Amino acid sequence: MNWPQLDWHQISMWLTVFVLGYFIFLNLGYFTLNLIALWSLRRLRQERILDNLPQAWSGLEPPISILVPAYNEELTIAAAVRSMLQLSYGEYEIIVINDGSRDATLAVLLKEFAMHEAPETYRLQLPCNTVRGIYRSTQYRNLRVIDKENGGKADALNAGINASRFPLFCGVDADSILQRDSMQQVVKPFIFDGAVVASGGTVRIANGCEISGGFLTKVNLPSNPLAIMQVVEYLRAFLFGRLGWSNMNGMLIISGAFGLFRKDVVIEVGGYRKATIGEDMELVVRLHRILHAKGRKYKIQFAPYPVCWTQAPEDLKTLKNQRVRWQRGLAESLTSNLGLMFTWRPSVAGWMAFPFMLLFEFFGPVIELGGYIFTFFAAYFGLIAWQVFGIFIFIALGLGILLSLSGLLLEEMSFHLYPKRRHLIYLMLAAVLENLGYRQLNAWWRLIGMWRWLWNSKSHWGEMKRKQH
Amino acid sequence: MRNISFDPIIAVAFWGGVLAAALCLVVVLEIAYLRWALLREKRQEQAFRSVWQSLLLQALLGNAPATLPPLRKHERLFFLRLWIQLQESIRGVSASAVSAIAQSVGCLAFASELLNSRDRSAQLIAILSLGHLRDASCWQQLSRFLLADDSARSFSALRALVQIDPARAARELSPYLLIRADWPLPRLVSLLQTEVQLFSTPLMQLIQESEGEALEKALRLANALHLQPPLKFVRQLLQQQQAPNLLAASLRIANLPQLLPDVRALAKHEDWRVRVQVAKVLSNIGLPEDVDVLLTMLSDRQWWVRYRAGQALLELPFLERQRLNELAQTLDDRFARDILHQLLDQVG
Repeated sequence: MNWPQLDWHQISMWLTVFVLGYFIFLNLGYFTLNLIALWSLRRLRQERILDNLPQAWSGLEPPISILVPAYNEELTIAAAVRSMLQLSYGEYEIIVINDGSRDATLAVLLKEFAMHEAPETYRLQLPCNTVRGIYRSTQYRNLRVIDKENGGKADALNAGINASRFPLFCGVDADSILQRDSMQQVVKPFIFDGAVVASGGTVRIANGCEISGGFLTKVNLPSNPLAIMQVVEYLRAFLFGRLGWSNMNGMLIISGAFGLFRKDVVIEVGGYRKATIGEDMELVVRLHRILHAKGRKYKIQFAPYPVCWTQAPEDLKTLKNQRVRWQRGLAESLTSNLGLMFTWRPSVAGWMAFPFMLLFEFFGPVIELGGYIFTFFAAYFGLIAWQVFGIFIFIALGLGILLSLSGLLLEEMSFHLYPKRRHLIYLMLAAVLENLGYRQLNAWWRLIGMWRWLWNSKSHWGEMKRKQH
Repeated sequence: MRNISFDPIIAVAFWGGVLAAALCLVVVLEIAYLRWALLREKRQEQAFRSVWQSLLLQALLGNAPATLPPLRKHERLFFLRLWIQLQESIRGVSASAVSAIAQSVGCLAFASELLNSRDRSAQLIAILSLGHLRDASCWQQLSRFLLADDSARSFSALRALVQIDPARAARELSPYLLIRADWPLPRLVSLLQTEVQLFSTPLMQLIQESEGEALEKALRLANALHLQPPLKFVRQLLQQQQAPNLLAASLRIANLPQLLPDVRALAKHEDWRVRVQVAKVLSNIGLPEDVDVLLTMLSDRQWWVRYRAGQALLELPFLERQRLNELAQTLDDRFARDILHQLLDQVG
């Protein structure tokens, strides 16, 4: 039998065209999201005059339980809680969940806030590891601490939900820096629309900013180049991308650093899933899947004004751990909710957002890195012309830079948080340089995350180098 | 495999790259232009405020300036923004003095003009301004925004109309309170609290004419504004065959001693939201014989019912703390004992 002779040249060219097409569609997808985000931002900007007026609060705004999972946060937990106690909101409670810390986190809380162990009926609405004690502050009536056996962030949040008293809960990272009006901003979707079940707050990069008393007092650009690139990355991918999806009710992730949820709905879908490292995304995807399957009218929205600031990694090792963890979380979230994709009753979440995430975020690192490596070696071995390789690099990088710059453009049109001229210049430089190594490095780390997910390696949060404010 | 020429594809890719590069340049220039425009506007506004802020503050303090500098066309929006911000924070004589300044520079005319603008933010500024100017001639113009497709403009229009003529707004606009589902209850309450006397009669009428979701919203509004519908009507609402959410909403306005038997009859309703509201009502109007009802509710299968029943017991004025402690010791049900101990510890 004669095997057909393979034309490696043709195959190589087709593969090159495929990768090229992939890059084009990826960037076109994000551009489209940016355009949708732009429309939404325009409407929000038009209403800015209302936000700047003194707000009259009726006391009927829904009360909120702020849940703060804490693990080994002895250096920063007291300051974090103090700042949360100063939030400008009608009625709220703070529940810190000490997730089996090995340092003095609990001792710090008990001392700083004059807490004593109080009898409390604890409802096990969601499974969680053993709760060792519940403490109440004698100084702040709206502050409690749950001390429990270590079980991870998801487990800690479930424990917090069990103890919470209010219909909305807000999961906040212990190192998140909030603004005084953060709750007012993130609760707005719930006030204006009864169908909203979750609302994500915008997370911005706190590196370089001035912080006082646990609050951000002045916005500044980081001095660390890695952090500056993350500023651009956050604008491109996390801010405007999510806002675009939110407009279509297709947002599949709410940052674990700051998200507001309807408690009854989260309990209905089973709470946070313990066996996942990306518990924030997994919950939101599951909300979409289950609520859509039940035919319920629901919305998951995004509050685009900055409400939460967080420290971004400034060294490669910590950044790598973060990105490996995120990719693993993405993989877990998508694969455990495949039922959302292409449901018989169409939805943006199931027919657009989910396939988009799968194709461009989940498989993205494989195709992106694979594309670079393949085209290089194809050109090296003469299967494609070097000219073709050059054009591929030209368009891949060109579109990437254009997308990063478009994120900056949207920032300039809407929030302009970075007021100085040199900020703008550094950001524009970062938008270019981000595509010359940083994105590729990220793709490599995401590939590692996928590999670890495939082989079910134990993934860990790593140690984030804390700075005391 | 048939050989295909990739030259056209490669050519398209190349020119696509060129286009991307050109767009990058355009975007950079646009960013630079936006920054320049923003800085220019900020400078202009700062220059404007350095003059007008002190003039308006003088008026606020009762020393209205005899003459005012001319207001240039490009400064009108700056003026309106500054003036609105001031007006939102002041009342009475100060507000009138500041309004007089706005009138003298022709605010009414250019705010009315802005109302017809296609720019949404300009329309919002105009609506807010006309509300503060309280000129009745703008009534018709503002009314058309009540049915605007977005809640920002429609609610702002409602607010402005209430400011201009509260009595007329109460007579003519009350139905909109229930029609517009996108007007959030907390904001409505904040607005109507200032003119609750005027809105009470139309609202009571609306309550008696509404049903379903509209009725539920109306009841919640009445409760928030501390309005009391007629006894006979509330008694009708508390009939057991009503939908649970309507029963729960009705119980919020059932704080009349004459309604106690109707309230008690709902203490064992199958829906926990109704039982929670029963506990709340009993905390307000309960009698000594209701202590047993509340003690029974401490053993409810729903935590919230137990919690509210416990709170109700603590709030009953005739039940002393010591007596409650004694009662807690006698409870057989572990859940009842636990919730009462928790609440007793909470209040200290």
